[in-house]
Amino acid sequence: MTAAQQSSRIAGVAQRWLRRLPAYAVLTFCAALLLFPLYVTAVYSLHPLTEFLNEGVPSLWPSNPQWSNYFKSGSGVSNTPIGRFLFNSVVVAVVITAAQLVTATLSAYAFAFLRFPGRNVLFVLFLATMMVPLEVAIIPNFQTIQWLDHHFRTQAWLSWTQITWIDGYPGLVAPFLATGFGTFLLRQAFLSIPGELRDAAEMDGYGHWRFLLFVVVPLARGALATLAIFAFLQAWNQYLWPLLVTNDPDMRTVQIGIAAEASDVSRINIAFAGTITAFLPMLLLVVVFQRYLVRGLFGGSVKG
Amino acid sequence: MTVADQYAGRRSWAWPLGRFLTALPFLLPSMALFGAFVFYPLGKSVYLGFFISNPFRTRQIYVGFDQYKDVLASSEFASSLLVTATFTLYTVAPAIVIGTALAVLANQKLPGIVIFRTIFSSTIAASVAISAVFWLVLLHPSIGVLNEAVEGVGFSRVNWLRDGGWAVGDRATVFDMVAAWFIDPNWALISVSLATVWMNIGLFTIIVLAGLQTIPEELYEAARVDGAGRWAQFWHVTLPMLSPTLFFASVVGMIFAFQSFGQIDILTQGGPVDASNVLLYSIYQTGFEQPFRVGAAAVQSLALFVIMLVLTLFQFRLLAGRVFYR
Amino acid sequence: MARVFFQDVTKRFGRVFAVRELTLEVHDQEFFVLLGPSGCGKTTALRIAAGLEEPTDGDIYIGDRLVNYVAAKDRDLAMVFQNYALYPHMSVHDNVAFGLRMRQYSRSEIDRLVREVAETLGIGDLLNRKPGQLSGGQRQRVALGRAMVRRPQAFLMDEPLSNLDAKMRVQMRTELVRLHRKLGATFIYVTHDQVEAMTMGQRIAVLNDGTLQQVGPPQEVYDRPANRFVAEFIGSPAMNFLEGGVVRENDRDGIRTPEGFLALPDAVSAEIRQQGVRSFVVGIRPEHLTPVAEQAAAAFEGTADLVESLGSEQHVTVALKETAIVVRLPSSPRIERGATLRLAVAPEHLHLFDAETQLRVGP
Repeated sequence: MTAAQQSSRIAGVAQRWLRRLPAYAVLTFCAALLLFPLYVTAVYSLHPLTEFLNEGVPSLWPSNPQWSNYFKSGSGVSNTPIGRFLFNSVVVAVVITAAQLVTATLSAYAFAFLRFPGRNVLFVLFLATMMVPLEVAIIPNFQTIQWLDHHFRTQAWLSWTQITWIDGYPGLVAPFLATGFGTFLLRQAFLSIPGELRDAAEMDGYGHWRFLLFVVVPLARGALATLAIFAFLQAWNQYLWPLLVTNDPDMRTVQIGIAAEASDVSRINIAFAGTITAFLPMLLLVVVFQRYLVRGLFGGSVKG
Repeated sequence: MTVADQYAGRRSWAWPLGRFLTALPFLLPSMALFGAFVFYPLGKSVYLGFFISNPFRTRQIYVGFDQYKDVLASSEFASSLLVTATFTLYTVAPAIVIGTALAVLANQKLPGIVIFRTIFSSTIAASVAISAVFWLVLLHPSIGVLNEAVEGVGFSRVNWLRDGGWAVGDRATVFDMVAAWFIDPNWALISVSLATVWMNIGLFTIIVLAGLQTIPEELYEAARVDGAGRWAQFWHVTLPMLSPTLFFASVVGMIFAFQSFGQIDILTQGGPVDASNVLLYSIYQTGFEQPFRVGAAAVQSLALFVIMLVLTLFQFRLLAGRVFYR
Repeated sequence: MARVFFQDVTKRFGRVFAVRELTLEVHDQEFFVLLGPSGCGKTTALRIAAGLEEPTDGDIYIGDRLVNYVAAKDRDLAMVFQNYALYPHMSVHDNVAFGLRMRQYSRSEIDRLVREVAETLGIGDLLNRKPGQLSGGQRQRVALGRAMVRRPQAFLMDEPLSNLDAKMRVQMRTELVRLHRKLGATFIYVTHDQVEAMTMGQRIAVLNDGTLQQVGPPQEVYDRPANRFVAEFIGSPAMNFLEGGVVRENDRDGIRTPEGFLALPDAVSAEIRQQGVRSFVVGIRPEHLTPVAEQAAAAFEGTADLVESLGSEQHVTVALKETAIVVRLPSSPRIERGATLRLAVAPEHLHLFDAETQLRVGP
């Protein structure tokens, strides 16, 4: 390659990047704007408390970063560490996710592979549950949980179980263990499994439960992952319900915990550190499982 | 061969009842949970609406449909509906416009574009509490930086979280509020909306990006052959092809708007007065704060149910179209 | 003994009859083909035999055992499905072994059996692959292997070759016949492809609208179709049909059609007169029409309208006065479009059907 050729090639590459420059500038500007709230909170989470007591707005640069803010989380109100909130949220979200996977897999299997009287009516009822957001049912549901809590505390034949509904995990998860959306999503996925496979398995002597376990579940991994990420996100983001059924700071989920901490001005920087701590794992989760998220949004119709 | 021999191997699903019994263990867990936490509450809400209970819930007074009439005809309910509708408008439209713009930007073929796609869709990871705190940081009366920016470009400072605008003051009726709607901004509701929009941008970017993937490349090639520039391509190819997706997104956005609670609780607690008191927050205040008007809250939640039912049915139609025409 | 016997089997889905009063005996070790257009009930019949579908009425015997209420897995049958029904997430080995795992075989025994079958089918080196990594023909063999490994008394095959390309299909046809000979099991083979039926079946049963039309060895079904449906369904190009009535012209009995007069042998005409049938449909296979010289007596005269040359032969559509008939001719001499053709047909090659009942009346 001659020097002239080489320099013209370099010029070509340079030109191409030059042409792309405006596009990158716009993209970067938008990204910066979008991330600005995150940035400010992150910076504030590193400020010492004095920064907030001064006149005027705190600096937008962490000139005196206090990494310790991240390790002494725990508000004046409760003295409960952010770790405890996170732990509660993880327990709640994992239990809800696991339960929804099980209940939705079972019901979706019945709707996709079994013929039984009343199937269509039942399926419509299952779909109808999607039209009753749990926000609408909070008052009776809260009463139900209160009622359960009362009986589990007072009735001897129940109290030995030590189950607490108010200020306990059972109360936090109970209304969310079944899902119409998940049933619908998984049924769609199961329907794409050829009926021939069921026939073949039947000829080989595999009953419904074994077929479900050995064939359907492995084949519907994608849809199950989609449901899992949705269930987890929804459970994690619960706000109203945990607010109602928990009073004990030790039983608060991270959302309620953050809200409580943010209202305590005397430790505001620690509250911000807690917010960032709570945000990052979800960010990671969403980035990793994004394609399953897209699929779920479209009812399983988009191939991710 | 005896009759007993013949029937010994009869499979259970030969009988309708047998087939139902086969299906039952698969359905029972979901059915029981739905019964307890979805269908029973709906009926219970209707029932609760017939009663007024005293603050200590020691007595319940049957009032029949009077409570339904009182609640639904009250000016608080009307103002709550107006606030909810405004909130829906403030959140859905901007989030979709911004989400679409970001998705189109992030759909360019450039090296490293994946990074921007990830950033633009990242706000979906923020829960209501987290995004509310992020925006509290920006809007806070003393430490909020947004006012600095507002001043910087020559406007006067805004009392973001504490200025109810048209929703407060001596405007006694909903009509007065509507009259002031354009001239006296409800900054508290706008603040809550800002946090909500920011949170939903990621979701809408993801939805629109997925929608963009479904537009066949040939359409753009054909448009280019016809001499269409970038804008013409956007207006005449992208937008029309995207319209089902945008429609779908707007319904999702509306449903989200009606379910919004946490950001309001954290940022404004529905105030000042009732300036950001959307229907769901009003249900919470009515039912779970003094004087615990459970019956009235149940009536409100039934109203919310009807509104959301209409929206969800609408969404189903769209979703059904997507699922079955593909 | 693995004869499969359908006795008055009826299957109804709601108001639709998929199979109607089917009585049929498949002999032990026979290669039996169920042939018919799509939706004729052949697959339903097969599924009833398999135990995947319960008959609405009637009985199924395998050997001498009534199996109506015997679960599919206990009937000692294997099925090969149209789309192979391979489990996509399992290796070839596991797919073949899947049925054995339910039957209390030891691991080493399963391994040995799978390997044995794989060798027979020439898929021994594919055992660790997933179905997605196989060609259509290879998948077909795996599906066969899965059926074979259990050594069933009978194989039920539901259009197993329909997803293969033309060349592979021909190859698999001969392989299946060879396999049948080797295994000595009963094969019930469902297809809509008459070539498969003719080439593979020892006997074939033609079904239409859930009703059995005819059972017999392929050549017999071809030579003496029991009714107009069978006549039309089997044979390519399809049989030509003309309507007409029996008349006596020039001292000869024959059938007068709008297109010409077809003489009949005396024995046939006598028999027909005895049956008292008035109007007929005459069927003539395209290969039984022969061009004749100008002086000779011809049944039909027309012009060549469309000539399809297949290399080894040519199919000529000849426009007659009112209809058109198809003639199958050797590739030479080449017929030009527009040429005049005079066609004759030997009386013994006529197929006569009652125009009303559509049933064969002679010869």
